[in-house]
Amino acid sequence: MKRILLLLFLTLAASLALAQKFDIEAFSDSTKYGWENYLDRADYREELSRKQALLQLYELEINSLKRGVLKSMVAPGWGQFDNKQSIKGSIFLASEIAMVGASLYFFDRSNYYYQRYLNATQVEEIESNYNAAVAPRQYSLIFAGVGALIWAYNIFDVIQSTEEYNARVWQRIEAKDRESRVRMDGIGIEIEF
Amino acid sequence: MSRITSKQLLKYLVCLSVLLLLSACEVNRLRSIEEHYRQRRYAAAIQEADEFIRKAANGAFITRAELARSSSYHQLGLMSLQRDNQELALKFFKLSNSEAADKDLAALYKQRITEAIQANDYEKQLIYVNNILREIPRSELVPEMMYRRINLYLDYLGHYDHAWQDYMDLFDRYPNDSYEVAARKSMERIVPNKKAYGQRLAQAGYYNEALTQFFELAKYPVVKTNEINQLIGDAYRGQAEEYLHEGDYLEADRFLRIALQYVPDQRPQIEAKLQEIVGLFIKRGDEYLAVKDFDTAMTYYQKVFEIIPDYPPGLQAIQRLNTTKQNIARAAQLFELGQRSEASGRYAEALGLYQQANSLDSSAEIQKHIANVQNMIEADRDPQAFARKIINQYRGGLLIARVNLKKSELLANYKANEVRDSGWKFLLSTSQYKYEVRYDLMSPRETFFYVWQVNLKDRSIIPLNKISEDLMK
Repeated sequence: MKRILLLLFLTLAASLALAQKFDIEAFSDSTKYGWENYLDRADYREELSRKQALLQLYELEINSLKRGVLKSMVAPGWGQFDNKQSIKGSIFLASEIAMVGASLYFFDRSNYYYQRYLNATQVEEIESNYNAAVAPRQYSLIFAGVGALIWAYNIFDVIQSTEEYNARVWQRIEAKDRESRVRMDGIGIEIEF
Repeated sequence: MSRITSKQLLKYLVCLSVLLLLSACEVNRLRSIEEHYRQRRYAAAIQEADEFIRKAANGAFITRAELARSSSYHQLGLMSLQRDNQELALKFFKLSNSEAADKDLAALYKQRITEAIQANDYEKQLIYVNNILREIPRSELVPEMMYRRINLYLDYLGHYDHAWQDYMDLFDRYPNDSYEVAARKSMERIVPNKKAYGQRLAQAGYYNEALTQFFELAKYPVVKTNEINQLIGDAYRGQAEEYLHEGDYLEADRFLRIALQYVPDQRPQIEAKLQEIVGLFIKRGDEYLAVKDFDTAMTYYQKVFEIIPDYPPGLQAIQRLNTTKQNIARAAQLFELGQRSEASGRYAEALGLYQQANSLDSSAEIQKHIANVQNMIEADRDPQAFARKIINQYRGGLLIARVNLKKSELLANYKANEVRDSGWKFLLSTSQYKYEVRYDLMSPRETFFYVWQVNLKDRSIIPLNKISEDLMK
């Protein structure tokens, strides 16, 4: 307990020592985002308005993170399939099936020997069946654990890949928007502002 | 033992999953920013947003963070206003950089303008007016600010051109807005000068510049339509007069017609001018007809009809041109016939044909042929008499007079019986129509043998010795 209190005290002291004073001048500096004048501000606002208009389209086209996680919780790899990562999804699904299958197989083997151990009447038979039941049980647990790790990593991965997918969706929408504003023909380049 | 191991393993896995979920999500960081904003922790929202915008990968999240940051700055600006810290509010509104913040920024500038008006500080007024116009061009205060700036230019700075420019912008962007209507009154101070300037330009011959000036005025409801039309019409008439002076009648006509559209009440004067132009076209055409440049003459006659269709004097001029062309063609035919007759020795017939040709189209060539043929006729009739006639008529009887003078000189120096002459002798020379004419004067000491060759065809006289040549000088 004393150790914990000491640790808390040290953490507090360090944070106070490292804390910087809030600089209102720097915080309210109207040029801090690189807007040297009203023209720069107008350019930024124009760009932000353009991007804001694209948000609605983006919301329609993205994959929901929650839905992706739920899908991958139910069937590992399903969310990745939604994110157009079918190879990765297949690997997750196959690995999970293999791990669960192996775990169930060894669990079944273990139960088989365990039943024989319970029904055995001879000392030698009891010992041999018990020993034969322990190893499959351990294998079953190991495969179940690895399966659980794959399942957890699959969830982590679906979050990452959904965010990557959504980021790409944004890039695509933005690129399309820019293309629609820039037209090239035989005479020259036309840009819509 | 195996049951405990399973439970523990499951617990670790759940903890690990939660940790992974929390750490992996970029969206959670965005939600944190938005949560700060909802909880009115604007400074925290801004700081987190700044960090997030720098590092985030998803452009949509960055946009949302930028919007949250903008709203946070706006709220901070409003809070600064509540605490009466206008300078800070200005900075936050600028940092917010949004339509809503601009509205508050414009209101703040307007408040400062009001304070500057009370302090009679026109320089500050101009600064804040300019700030609104420059920084918040979509503000609803723009018409009012333009009106204010017009009056500042007129009242304090004397920048009339800038005031006019502002008025034009005001009208172009906000026609019939209450401030635009009010600004018309202010423009009454400028417009007379602009009209006078345009008139001066026109008087100096800078018609295009003057018209630009007048048309600019005409676009705006600051001058009466009749008045500006009169100025424009006068400028066009001036330009037409200039083209008339330069001889570019078509351009003159074009400008007069344009002028007529602006000053229809001046129709009689302008139409009289147009007729004058038409007369000039005919005159110019006649000049070309006189030198037988029929195409150019016709071009000028045709131009008449571009101004007044079927104008009778124009038709008559074309009739004249056609008659002249026919006469010339007929004269050429007669001349050719005359030449044939002359070549075959029918000089009387040739003379008749040449004279007819000359009456249709007189030319030096025909007249020369007429003279030659007349010579030939006379030479055929009595060549010697004709040769005598030529000698007698040479420069009004010069040869006869000088020979007689020379004889008188000899008679003065010698006795009458000592001076002898041969009299005029006419002898046929090398060809049928060439005669040698001699006159010899003799005295005891001096002798003069005059001799010339007379060509009956062209009445030419050629001296055949030095003293004869001297006598002709």
